[in-house]
Amino acid sequence: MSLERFQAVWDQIREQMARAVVGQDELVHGLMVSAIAGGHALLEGAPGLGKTLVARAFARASGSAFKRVQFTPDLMPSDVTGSSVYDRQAGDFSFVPGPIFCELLLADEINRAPAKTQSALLEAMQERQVTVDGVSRPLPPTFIVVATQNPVESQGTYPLPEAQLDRFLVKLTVADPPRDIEERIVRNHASGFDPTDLSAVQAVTTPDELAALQALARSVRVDDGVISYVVDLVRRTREDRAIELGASPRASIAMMKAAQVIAASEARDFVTPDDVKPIAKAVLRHRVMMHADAELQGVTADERIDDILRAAPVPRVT
Amino acid sequence: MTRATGRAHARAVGRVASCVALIALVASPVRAVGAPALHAPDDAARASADLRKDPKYAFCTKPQRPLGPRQAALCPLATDLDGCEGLRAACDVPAPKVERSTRWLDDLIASLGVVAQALVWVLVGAIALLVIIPVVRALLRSRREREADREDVRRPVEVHAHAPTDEASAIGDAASLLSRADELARAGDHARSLSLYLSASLAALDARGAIRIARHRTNGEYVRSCADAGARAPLRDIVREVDGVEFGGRPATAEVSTRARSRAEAIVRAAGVVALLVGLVGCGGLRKPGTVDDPAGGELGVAVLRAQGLTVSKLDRSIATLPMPAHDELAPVVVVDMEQTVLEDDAIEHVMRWVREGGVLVLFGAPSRWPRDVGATETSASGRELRWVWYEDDDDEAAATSVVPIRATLARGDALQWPGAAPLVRVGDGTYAGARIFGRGRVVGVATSELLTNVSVARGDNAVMLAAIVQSAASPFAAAVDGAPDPNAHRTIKMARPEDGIPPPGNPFAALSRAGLDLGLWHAIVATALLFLAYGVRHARARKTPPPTRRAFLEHVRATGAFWRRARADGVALASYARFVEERLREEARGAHDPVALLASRAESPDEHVAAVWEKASAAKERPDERRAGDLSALGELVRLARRALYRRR
Repeated sequence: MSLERFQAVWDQIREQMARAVVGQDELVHGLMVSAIAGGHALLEGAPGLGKTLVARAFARASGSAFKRVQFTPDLMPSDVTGSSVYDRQAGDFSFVPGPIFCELLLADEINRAPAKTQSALLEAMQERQVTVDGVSRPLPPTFIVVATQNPVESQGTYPLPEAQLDRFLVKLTVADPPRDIEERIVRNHASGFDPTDLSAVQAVTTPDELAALQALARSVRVDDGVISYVVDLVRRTREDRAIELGASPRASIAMMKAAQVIAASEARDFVTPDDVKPIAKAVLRHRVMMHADAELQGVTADERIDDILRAAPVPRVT
Repeated sequence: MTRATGRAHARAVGRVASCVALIALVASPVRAVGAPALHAPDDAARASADLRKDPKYAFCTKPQRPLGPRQAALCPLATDLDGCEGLRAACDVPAPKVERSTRWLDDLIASLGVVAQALVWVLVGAIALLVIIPVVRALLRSRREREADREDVRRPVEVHAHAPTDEASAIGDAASLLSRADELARAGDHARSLSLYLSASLAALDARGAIRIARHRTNGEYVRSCADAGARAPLRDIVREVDGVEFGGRPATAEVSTRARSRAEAIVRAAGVVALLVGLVGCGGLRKPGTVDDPAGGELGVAVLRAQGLTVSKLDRSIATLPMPAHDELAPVVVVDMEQTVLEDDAIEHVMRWVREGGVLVLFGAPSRWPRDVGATETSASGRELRWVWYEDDDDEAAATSVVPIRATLARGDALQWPGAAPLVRVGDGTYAGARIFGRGRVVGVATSELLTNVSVARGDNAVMLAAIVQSAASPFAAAVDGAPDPNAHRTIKMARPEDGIPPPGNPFAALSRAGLDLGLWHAIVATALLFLAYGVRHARARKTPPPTRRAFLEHVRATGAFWRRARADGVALASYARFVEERLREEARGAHDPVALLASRAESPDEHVAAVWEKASAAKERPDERRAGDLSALGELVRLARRALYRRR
């Protein structure tokens, strides 16, 4: 696997996704970075902005087995992980795998499920295995969770605990499309586009190749100066007076991994600060807890991260 | 002075003036080496014809349209002028008539003028408010912030953005960085030289505003944000090389350094060229020569005079600030077109003093516009033909006819009457131009400014006449009068601009006043004084700092009161305070007494009034959550009564 092949696959996946997804470039880019970095993605946005479509399109273009679970308040952990069922013929319990046994799990409206069910994902997300009845069952190596949540409705929801939020490599916010993009979306639908039928999106890679891409991305060189820059950004979130709880070292690792993917997507075998900055907000925004005073004053995590990015000097020799 | 004596004096002046003219006209071809040579006035006709071949002089072929009154007045000069068909055609077009507005329209316009004036004042008021409101708000905010600083409570977090630190000054000058990078490259330190090539490129781009250097910006951001499309590609290449070495661990070879150098040099050089272009354009140095299409302009006349060998330039300073010539100095000739330049009183006073000290002033235009001290008046002439007066003496008719005549044609016959002046040019039986001595200098006056105009100078004979007049003014007259003429010297010619007749303001207030902003200035002064009295005095006054404990308690009480007020808990406040007052009264009285009677007695207030207040307080104590009208005023009154009853010194 070469970097040129990496770039070619990257471009082909984007091209295939563009057949189904109009606009949402940042979302597509962020999801691809997250998936190839082997991280999970949390998508936040109002309903109807194409979050599910993007996830499905990526799964299809990357040839990944895709499963979707609609999270509801009565969803049980076993509904996600699977459970042991008594087999009369065999006279024994046999394990019936849940939807989590796939390569891309779409956890739709994840914050509608209670903490117990959400926590069922923790092991899968961190260890890439599921333990049911004391037996650990591995998940595919390229397994990722793409979760969505709606920021508008708060009634009857269970906010994700910090520990679980930290498991997501990126949190991508989905904004309303600009007018021209929206008109294109409507035109596409008027000309017969069916979002449930993604047959137009072809698989341009395989899960095995995806794993190879992940391995190649991990081999991209990260200079000490860049590592220092990444750590500086993360540590600044802990020193910021508007932030109650800053990002953990896991955030530093996530940022570095994401930057490696971005560098590889440009067929570059080393990371520059330019690869770090664009992804910093997506990596950090869900990992910081704002101070109550700051929240009362309407300060958002994105604004503080922007300030941190503006304050942190970029490493240079001169 | 008798009439005969006056005539004799005039003749004497005339002889001197004519002799001076003669010196200027005849001596110029034999001028010695070392002084710029003046051509004979006759050459002006050829110079005018040659200059007109330049396509930029389009006032004859493609004049500006429609012609204005000043241009139209020159039309007679174009009737027999070769190559002036365009101007003749323009002259044939009747001037657009301005329809006389009807009376109702005049009234409407007049009333609209009043409305417009009122709107302007409203606008001025709005602008003043726009200025004052932020100032007042800033003052109030700063006061609030200072008060908040004193509060011993937890401050809200700072949420303002960190200002990006400017790194441009650290990077320094592009050229010096480039040379430093070259030195490092020659010394074999290619890694650092590479970085410096990037720094030089960034500094150059920053200097010309294509990027903004800041320490938080990445190299890629510089490339993407570069406003100079031409520099973006080489900058991207340099960034790629530098990133590869700095972050990619690639070796910094001489080849890489050379590549970066060529690109950085291109960027830095381009920046220099841009700066030069900006500078030149800003100075007007690269301004495309404008087409001279105004028949009444003066460009061709200036060009002809320069072709004659005269040093002609703009005055570029106010006439009111002309430096007084030294005794042995050959002061310049200042040419003023009085149709264009209006001399203010200060300028007139100064320029006449300057003339008496040895300066030469040439006035073109109607004598009614000249300084009164010059003493000329305008009159009409019997013809339009001009002729140069070589020697005007009744006894020397033969001498007068022995020289080559210089003649010219006017569009309109105007003349002047100038007692005490020697005539230089005659028009019909009147004087068109003359010269008069003032002190050590002289004034040369020409009755109209026609000779300065392009269409006039386009006529060869008129060009000769203009050259003759100006050359005679440029002759070293002062030296000749003193008996030591220097035929090799001539004065420089300074052409006054329309604004040169206005003396420069002595101070900023005078400048504002001259611009008609004196009323606004007074408003600003009054507004500033009011602002100072309203807010500035408080800031300026030294105040004694109260003891911190007392201040903290006071602020606590105030904050609690403000909190209650915000929470609309007036009843709670009244009930609490009433309990406090009752408790204190009982402590003071050391026993069970009627609080109303005690309060009325100690506060020296009527029982009925105190009873009414206490009744409201009692109601508040029973039902503090209930909202009642007047609780707040009752609280205020109870505070007043309690203060008198409990804290008054006895």
